[in-house]
Amino acid sequence: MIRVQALEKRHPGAPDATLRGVSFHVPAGRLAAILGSSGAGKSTLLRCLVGLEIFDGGSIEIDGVEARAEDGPRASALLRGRVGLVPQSLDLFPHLSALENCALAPRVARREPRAAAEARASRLLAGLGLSQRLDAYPEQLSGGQRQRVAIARALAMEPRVLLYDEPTSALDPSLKDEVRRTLLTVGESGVTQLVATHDAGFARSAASWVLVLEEGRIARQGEPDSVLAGPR
Amino acid sequence: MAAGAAEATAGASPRSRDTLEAIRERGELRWGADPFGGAPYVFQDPMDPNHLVGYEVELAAAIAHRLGVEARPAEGAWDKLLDLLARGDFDVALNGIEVADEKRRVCLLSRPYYAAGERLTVRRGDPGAPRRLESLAGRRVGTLPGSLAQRILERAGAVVLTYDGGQNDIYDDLRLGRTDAVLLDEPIARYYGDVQPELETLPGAFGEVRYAVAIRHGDEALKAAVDQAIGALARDGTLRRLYQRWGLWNRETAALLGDGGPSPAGTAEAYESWRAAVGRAPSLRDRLTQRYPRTFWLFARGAALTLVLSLASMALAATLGAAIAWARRYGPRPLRWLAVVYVEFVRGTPLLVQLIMIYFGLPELGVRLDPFAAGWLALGLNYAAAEAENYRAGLESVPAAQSEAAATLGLSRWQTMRHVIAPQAVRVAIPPMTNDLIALLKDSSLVSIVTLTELTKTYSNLAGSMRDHLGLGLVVAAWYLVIGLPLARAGRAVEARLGRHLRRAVT
Repeated sequence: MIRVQALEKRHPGAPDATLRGVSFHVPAGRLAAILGSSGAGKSTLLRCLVGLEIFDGGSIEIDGVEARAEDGPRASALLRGRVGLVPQSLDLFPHLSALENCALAPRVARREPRAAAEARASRLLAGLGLSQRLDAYPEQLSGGQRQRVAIARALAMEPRVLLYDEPTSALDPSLKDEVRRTLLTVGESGVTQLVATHDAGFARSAASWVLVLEEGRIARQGEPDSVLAGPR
Repeated sequence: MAAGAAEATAGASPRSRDTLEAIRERGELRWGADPFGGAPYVFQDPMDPNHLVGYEVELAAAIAHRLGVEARPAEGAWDKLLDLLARGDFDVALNGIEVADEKRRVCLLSRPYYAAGERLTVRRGDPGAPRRLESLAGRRVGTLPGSLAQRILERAGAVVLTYDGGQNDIYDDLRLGRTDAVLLDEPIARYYGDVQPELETLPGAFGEVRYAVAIRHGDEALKAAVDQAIGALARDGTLRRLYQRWGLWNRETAALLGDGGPSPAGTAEAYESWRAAVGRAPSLRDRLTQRYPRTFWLFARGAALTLVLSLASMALAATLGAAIAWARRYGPRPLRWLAVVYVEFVRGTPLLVQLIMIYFGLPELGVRLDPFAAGWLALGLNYAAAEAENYRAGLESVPAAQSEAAATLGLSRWQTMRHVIAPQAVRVAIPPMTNDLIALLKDSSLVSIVTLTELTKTYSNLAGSMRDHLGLGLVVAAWYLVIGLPLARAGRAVEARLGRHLRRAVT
């Protein structure tokens, strides 16, 4: 579950706030999409949710844990590890194999034994169709495979919420469908998912709830058909 | 408090009784000399470079014997001998040290043990050669720096060329026409000028030089004991016999020692064997089968020192460099600033200057390091700056997004550094590090100025005493490659291991 209330973020030196009172709610286990043109504030919103940015106002609640702007850096620390992120550029660790990419954080940040961490990592990778590529390095994988490693890496920390930044950018239609099926597979485990995208077609086909972000505010939200059928 | 002050005084200028007593206690007179200073003073036996020979080796042994102890040579560069003496690296310096007023300001001088004229050497059959003091004005004349000969030449208005490299070079340049004459002490002229058939040493002396033993200020009792020993050796004829054997007995020394007979008696066997050894270069076959194999252990010792010193210095440089790189990229502002100043200062000043400051300068502040520690510290501190820059380049090559990805996964800053940033940064830093290690291996030759006989110093000593710069140059080059190539290989292996992920799989 994600509950965002009156979230505000102003980048130092920027004339206007990037997020100006964003509020929305995604129930547990849902797959929601945030639509918006570039510059609407999607990436900033995701960075606030995942704890990479200190926000200036409002609050973020993840499954009952609330991070408030007043808490400053502690708010960000609270979110880290609870919220996973699949960045647009994926940012896999190039010096580690697919398996090591997924096992590193549980092993190091949660001090799990190597065997346990690797067993879960290989289960996650296998679930996303990568059982044959466990020992491959990112450089040796295709774009789609890398994306699935990034998803498995985020899931390895067992987050309650998983965020995606533009997962379909620069993908052809057949691969977009592969991404959609991957998200549905992940959703079966009960993880709440939020996908930032500017691809309305993808949002309609994959998400069960759609938020439209315009100029730092949620302009509309609702079922995909109702939100996306209206004036574009 | 009072005891501490007394100790400090004793440490700063050891009293004479202490030094003389210390010599007697350890049963050993440590005397400083430069084995590269050349024949006939102190030099490596050209027939067997593992031995130090020379008339001063025998003189030191005779003086030590009179003091009831053994003589043990300590090596140092000739122009640094008095500094090393002041530092306390040895008890006395005994190596053709001229009696001169400016020397008395930095040390005590014993009664002179030898006297000789300054002799002019020219090319044989050169009609334009200067033959008198007056004709030296405006001519190019070679000599040793800081010598009486240099002062005579400057007064005569000659264009003086001084050589740090050794006596061979001075006479070789004369033979090759780069200078018009050489003015040097008679023993040197005899051993380096006279042995070349193309050169001739003119009769008549241009002034007299006297050699004495240098002793630290305050060591009056030691000076008295040395003076007494020299006097006794002169009286019983030991000195005369010694100088005759080396072909060095002359009118000046006879007068100095109050010995009636200026003409030498007996054969100068040591001089003749020197002539025989350097008169003509042995055939390549002889060199390859006899001379060079005999240098093996000397070079091996030098190579071991070079290798150990280089590796130890690199370890220091790598550790300190990592700390500096960290401070510069992640440290608080004052620390960052300090790191920048350190890197720029160390990088912008010559390693030689830093080494001299550490070895000869720090004792002024009461910090007296032994030669190895000083060399290790100078090389390590110097290369730390270079390594810091390598690591910084490595750290900057890792995109910031990698840190963010690690942060969203819940890794702490330290865990991110340890598992994500450092492995990627090190791979980038390894090739320049390997390069630096090889450079350090070569730069370690600078430590020869602080009396460490590493590979290059071994080479220059041997080349000087054997008069074989080219052949031994190839030998020492081979030694450097033997220790350098495996290091380069190891560097490439580490790089390949850290770069595994860049090997594309054939899919």
